[in-house]
Amino acid sequence: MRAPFVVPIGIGAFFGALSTRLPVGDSDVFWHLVVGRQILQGNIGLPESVSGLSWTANGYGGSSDQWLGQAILALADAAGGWRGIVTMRAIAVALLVGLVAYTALRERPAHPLAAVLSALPAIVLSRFVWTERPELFGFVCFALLVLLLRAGRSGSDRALYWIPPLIVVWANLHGSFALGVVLTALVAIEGAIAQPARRRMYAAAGVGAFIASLLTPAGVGTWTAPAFHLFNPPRQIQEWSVPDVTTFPGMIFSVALLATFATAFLARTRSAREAVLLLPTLFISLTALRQLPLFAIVAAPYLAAHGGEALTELVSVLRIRSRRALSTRRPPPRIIDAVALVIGVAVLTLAAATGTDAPDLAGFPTAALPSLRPGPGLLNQYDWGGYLIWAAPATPVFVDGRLIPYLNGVLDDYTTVLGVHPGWRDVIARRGIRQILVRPSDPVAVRARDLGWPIRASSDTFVLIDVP
Amino acid sequence: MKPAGLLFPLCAAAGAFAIAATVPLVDPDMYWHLASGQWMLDHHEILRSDVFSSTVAGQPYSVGEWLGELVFAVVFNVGGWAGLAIFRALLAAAAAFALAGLSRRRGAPLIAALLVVAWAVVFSKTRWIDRPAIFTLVLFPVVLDLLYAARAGSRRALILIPPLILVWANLHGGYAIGLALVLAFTVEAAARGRSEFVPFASALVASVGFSFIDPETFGVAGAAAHAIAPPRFISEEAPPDILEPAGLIFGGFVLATLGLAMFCGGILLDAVVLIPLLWLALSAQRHLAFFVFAATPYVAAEGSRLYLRLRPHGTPMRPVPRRLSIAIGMLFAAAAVASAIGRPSTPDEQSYPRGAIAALRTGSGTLLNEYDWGGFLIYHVPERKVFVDGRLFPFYPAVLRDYRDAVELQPDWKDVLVKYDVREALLTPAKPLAVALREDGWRVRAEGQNFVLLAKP
Repeated sequence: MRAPFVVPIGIGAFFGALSTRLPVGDSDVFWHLVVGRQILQGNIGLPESVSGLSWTANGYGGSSDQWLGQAILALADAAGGWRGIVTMRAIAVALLVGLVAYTALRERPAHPLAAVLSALPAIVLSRFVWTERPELFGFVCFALLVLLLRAGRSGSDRALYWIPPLIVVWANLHGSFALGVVLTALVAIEGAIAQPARRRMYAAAGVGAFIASLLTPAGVGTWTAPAFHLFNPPRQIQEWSVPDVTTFPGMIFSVALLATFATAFLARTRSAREAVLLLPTLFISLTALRQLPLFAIVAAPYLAAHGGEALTELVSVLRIRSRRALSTRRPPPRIIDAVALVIGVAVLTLAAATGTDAPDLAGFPTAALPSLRPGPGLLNQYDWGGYLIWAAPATPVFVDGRLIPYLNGVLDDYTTVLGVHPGWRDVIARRGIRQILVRPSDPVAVRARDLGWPIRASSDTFVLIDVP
Repeated sequence: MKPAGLLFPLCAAAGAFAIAATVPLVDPDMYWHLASGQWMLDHHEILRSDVFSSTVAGQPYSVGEWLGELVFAVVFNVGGWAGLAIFRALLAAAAAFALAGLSRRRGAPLIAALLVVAWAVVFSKTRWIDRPAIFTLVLFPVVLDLLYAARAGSRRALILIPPLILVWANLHGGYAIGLALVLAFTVEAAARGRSEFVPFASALVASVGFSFIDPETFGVAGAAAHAIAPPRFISEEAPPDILEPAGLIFGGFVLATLGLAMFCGGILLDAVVLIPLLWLALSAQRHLAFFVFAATPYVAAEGSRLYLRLRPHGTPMRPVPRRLSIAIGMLFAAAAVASAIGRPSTPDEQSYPRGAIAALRTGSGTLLNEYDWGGFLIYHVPERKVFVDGRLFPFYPAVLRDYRDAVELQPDWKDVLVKYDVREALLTPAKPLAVALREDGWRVRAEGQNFVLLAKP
């Protein structure tokens, strides 16, 4: 039975439109935009250290592994400013949500409500990655890969053909492509064992996905950042912290996880192919807060396919009399899908035209900008690095959200000064720090006030201190 | 159980004993539990108000573990530090013994059970601690094993559960998880029919009733309640990091359980027992062991079933020859004896400020100390009242907030020092407060690699 498009289009358009009402101004968007502009000027693969954004990352020879995502952001900015970025985000959100819903619906086309309920944890959880960063494109690619892998494993050769091209794009958009390559390899191995007649197809998809991942300016080096982040997640950054099931995103993740366990225990159908997708993704999701939506996305079609069986089994064990679930026996005609698509695009366009058109800078030190000294010498809050790169280009930053350029001792020095740890004054002297821009509650701000260091500017959000 | 059937649990127990006996005595909470137990022995009454701190002195509190603290104090009085190490090893052995029995409740072959139990025992090493929480680690598999026995028809096993809950409730706040287990089995029994339901429901009612026979009932309830809102700044209350060794083993259990469920399926009991325990485990790393223990019989049974499915023509397992069994048993027993001989006879205090004790005894005034060192100071320098310690509840939230504001150099840090009239500070040298006080001219009275004792000028 054909899965109707009207439901995923409707849900995608709704959530895409909703996203235009959300603030824009993720702490990393700013440096992505600046790097994206440099890329549009022809500097693809330029080592970030020579791009002049930071004064401490000298000698770092890495290149951007998200150049295409950054270029798309910069293009959206060039086309429509912040409204362009919000529109781009809305399109990505609509695609992500629509793909998640469609993948679930393909498993139960006759029960759209059950499919949507199965996808709901993934949709709600995806809210935490509706950011204007290349990461969001990575999630869209992931949702598309899940759809292609499931379709491919169900017998569609065409779906398998599309995986290497997807990986080429993904590897240039965001580092999350690595999970896609690993999942493709695992599905290919499992598929080749289960369906010997299609071995060549699976081999082509698996090998093709790996080769495709190397088609980036960094080549093999493009695997460096994903591997580093997987095994050494920077826990001091909130989105890389350990998932906590007592928080809201953790609870939503728990719903998906516990429902998956319940389904696995109670459903009658057994399938290795589901485990091949679910188990590695669960491991990745448990490593860091920002990975939580991945498992919910993979679990959605599994729950749609087998959740009903589990519920039926439960009802029978508990001897509860139940009515058969209402179902749509026939999918709506194609024309309805087309009309839904037109309406969806119209809704998105209208929402983008009337949505957020300026970044929310309430959490950034905007009032400090006039007092910043040009040139090297500023020690800034990590979270504000990207903003300063964008808003104060004459003052290069000490650290920012790019993280990897700062692992060679810079981050340690930053932590020492910020936390007033032993030797903090030595670091200030050694590095030649002339100004400090931090939050009022940061220990170095408190200590600087105690010591009577000159305060150049301050507010509830920031304090800018001159080092005497 | 036949004598031959005892060999596996006994070997598991001996193996756990051998490992546990050599673990250093290092838990920071061990000291204040010992001091509390000793106070109760000395005063012949339950400790109901603070006698150890300067910040909440005389205020009523309860950590709900009075019997556990008494037991530890008695063991210490009888056998000293070595006695504590042996006692901990015996409890670990009891847990492993129960776990070994539990692992075969679902019909797992010996080799599968052995592998899974070894995996679980190695994992649980992180929770072999010298404080009342270890009783929960022992009683959990015991109660679960009894519940499985009761499900298989043993009424005697069911009758044993309420008295065990009574003891558990007085030993440690983790008894609530025992009640949850009984509830899960009762729910599952209800699904199986009235005749199954009534005995389990009776055991549940009796267990809940017995749990109230405790002089500190509401304190215990309070202690158990922090599972819902764990204090994250305490490391064992942090969510599990599956990239750390213990988390990785736990992650392996989670993936194995889900993978096996997808290949082999399960029953309602698996869902009602394992799913809540999985959530609990993910909520804080101190709860990881419960999921691992509860999943042991499932993973062992279904793992071996899957193996047979994947390798239907594999060589069938032959029973271990009698002589070999005896040799293996003797090997485990020898390892246990060797470990008992080599057990630690003093606590490992390298991470504590031992070098500050003499200076502390001659000092005076309010002492602000590191949270993790509170218990150590209560035990070694009882004449100096602590600012905070691992008892947590008496200090929550006001004193803890003040403590953190001070040591993390928040804007009101000077006000906190004035409010409590702090005269001395015993801190790790890297703490912002230690750096600031040195810069402000506080005198260094004692100093080591991991501590500095500063006095107000």
